[in-house]
Amino acid sequence: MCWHAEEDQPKVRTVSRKSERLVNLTIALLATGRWLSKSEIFQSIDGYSGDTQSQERMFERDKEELRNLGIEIEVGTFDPLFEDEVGYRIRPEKYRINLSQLTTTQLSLLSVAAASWKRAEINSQASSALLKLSALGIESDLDGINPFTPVILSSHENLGNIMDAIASKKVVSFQYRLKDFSSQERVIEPYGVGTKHGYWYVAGLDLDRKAVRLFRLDRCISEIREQGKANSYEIPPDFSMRQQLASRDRNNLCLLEVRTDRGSQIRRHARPVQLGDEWDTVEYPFSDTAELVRDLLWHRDDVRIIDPGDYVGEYRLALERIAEIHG
Amino acid sequence: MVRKTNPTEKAARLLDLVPYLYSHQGISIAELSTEFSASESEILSDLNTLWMCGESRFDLVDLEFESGFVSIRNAETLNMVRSLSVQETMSILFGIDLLREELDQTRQDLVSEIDQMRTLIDSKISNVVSATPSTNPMIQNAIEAAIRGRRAMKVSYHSVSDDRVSERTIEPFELVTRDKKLFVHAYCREAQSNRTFRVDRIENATVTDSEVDATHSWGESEKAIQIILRIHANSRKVHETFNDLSQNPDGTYTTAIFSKQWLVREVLAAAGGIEILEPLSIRKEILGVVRNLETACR
Repeated sequence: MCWHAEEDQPKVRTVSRKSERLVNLTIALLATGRWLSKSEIFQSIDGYSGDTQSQERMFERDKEELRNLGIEIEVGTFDPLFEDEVGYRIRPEKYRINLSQLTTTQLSLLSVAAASWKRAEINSQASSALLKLSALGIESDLDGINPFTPVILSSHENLGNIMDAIASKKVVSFQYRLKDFSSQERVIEPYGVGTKHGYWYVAGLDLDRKAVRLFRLDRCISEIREQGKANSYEIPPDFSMRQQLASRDRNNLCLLEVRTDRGSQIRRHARPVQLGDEWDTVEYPFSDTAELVRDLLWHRDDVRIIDPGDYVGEYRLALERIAEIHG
Repeated sequence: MVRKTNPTEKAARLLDLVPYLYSHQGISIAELSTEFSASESEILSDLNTLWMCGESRFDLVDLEFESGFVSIRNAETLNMVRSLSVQETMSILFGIDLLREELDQTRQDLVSEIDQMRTLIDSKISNVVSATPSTNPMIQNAIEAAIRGRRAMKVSYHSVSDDRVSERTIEPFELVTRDKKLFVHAYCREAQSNRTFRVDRIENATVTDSEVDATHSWGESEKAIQIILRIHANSRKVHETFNDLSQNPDGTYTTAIFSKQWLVREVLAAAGGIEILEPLSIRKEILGVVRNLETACR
C-alpha cells in the first residue's frame, strides 16, 4: 500500500473527502437489499458531520449530485401507513449499463461510433463512453469495421455546455452574432444539437421570439451559460434535429441561364429545364433577393437571370456600388 | 489545458475506475492516466481515495498499486459499468449518424443494424442529435488509402477560381484540417507543382495503380498575397469569409489570401460591402470585371 503524505496536497484531501463520501453513499445504496433510512446512512458513512440539519443539507446535495451523474436513487417508505420515515436505495439493474438487446455487431459498431471523436479535440463524454465500453471488453478495433471509422473533425468549446443543458433541460443564454455583425443576447430552451458541413448547431425555443430557432455555435460569441432549474421544460416529442438541419428556406424560384460546364454550385440546388450547347436553363430555388444577387455576382458572366426580371435592377445597383467604390 | 476536476466528477471517475480495473487487472498507472485523460498524480489521488471506500469502515476496497501496476479486489458492489449518461449517449449518436452515412455507400448490410441500434440505445434522445459528415466519407477514405499505399489518384475537382470541374491526377501527401475544413496537400501532375485541395470540392476520387514519385514532397505552402481592404457594410459574412482580419489604425483591414480569383468573386458577391485598396492591380481588375458585366446586362 502507499499513502501520500497529506500535508503535501492539502487541497486534494478536501476534494477527496467529498468524492469519498459520494462513492461510499453509492456503495451503501447499491449494496443494501432494503430501504436505508437517513439515520442509518449518517451512522454508517463517514463525512456526514455536524448537527442533524447540516447532515440533512449535505445529504440532499449529495443525492442531487449523484442524480446529475445519471444515478437513479429510489425513494420509498418502510411502512405504507407511516409515510414520514422514508428510505433510499439504488437498484443495481438500473445502475448497470444494459446493452443486452444489442447484437455483437451492434456492440462493435457502437464502439466505432464512440471512437469517431478521436481526431477532434477531446470530447470527454465520448472518451468516457469509450472507457465504459472498454471496461465491458468491447473494443473498437474490430476486424472488418475499423477502416470505416468516421471522423468528427472539430468540436466546439460550447458543445459540452449545450449537451449538459439538454441533458438536464436547463435554459441557457448567450451572446449571438447577427448578420450585420452586431450581437444580441439570446435565451433559449435547448432542444437539440447537431453537426453539418463541419459546423455545430443548436436548436431550441427562443424564449423572446417564442419560436424554435437554429443557432450556429461558432456564432455564439460568449460562453453558453445555464440559468434556472433543471427540468424546466419538455422537448416536444415531434422535435427532430435532423429536420431542423435539413430545413433550408429556399422558398422562391427563378429561372437562370448557366454556361455549360460552369456554375456547379448553382447546379447542386437547381433543376435543369433545358440543356443547350452554350447555355443551360435551370430552375433555381433561393431564399431572398440579397442571396440571389450575391449568387449572380459570384458567378460573374457565367450565370444570367431570365425570370423574373425584377431582380435585374438590384443586380445593376450592386454593380454600380462596386464600381463606385473601386473607381 | 486540462480543467481541474470537481469532487462530483472525481466521484464519477472513481465509480468508473472500479469496473475498468476489474477488467484490466495489473494495468500501469501511466496507462490509466492516458485512458482516463487525467494526470498520474490525479490517478494516484483517485486510488488513495478509493482505498478509503467500502461497504463499511471494516470492509474497504482492496487495492494494490505500490508497484506502479494496479490490481483491485473486494469492490464487487461497484464492479458494474454504469449506464451511459445522456451526454455520453449523445456523443455516441453523433458517431452513429456519421457511421451510417459512410456505411450507406459501402456496407448496406450494416445499415439496418445501425438503425435498430439507434432506437435501442435511447429512443428518447435519439431525435435531439443529428450529424452529417462535412466531407464525403468515400472520398476521404480513398485519399487515406492513396496516402497509405503511396499511390496517385484521379480526382474531379471543382476549382473556385475558374468555377470549373477538372480532372486531375494527384499524389496526396497528407490530410490537414484548417478553419473546420478538410484539405489535402498534394502534388498535381497536371500543374506539375504542389497544390492544396479542399476535400469537399472533390467530386470523384479513385486510387490508381501508379506509384507516387518519391522525390516529390510537401515543401513550402503556396504564396500568400497581402491585401488591404475597407469594409463599407459590416456583416457577419465578411468576417466569416476572411477569418484572419487585422484592423489598421485608419480603420482598414489587412489580411492574406491565396487565390486572386477567389478574392475577386468574393468582392463581387459582397455587392459593395468590401473595397480592395491594395494591391492596386486587383482593385483595377475588379473595376474592369464590373464594367464588363455592366455592358453585358445593358
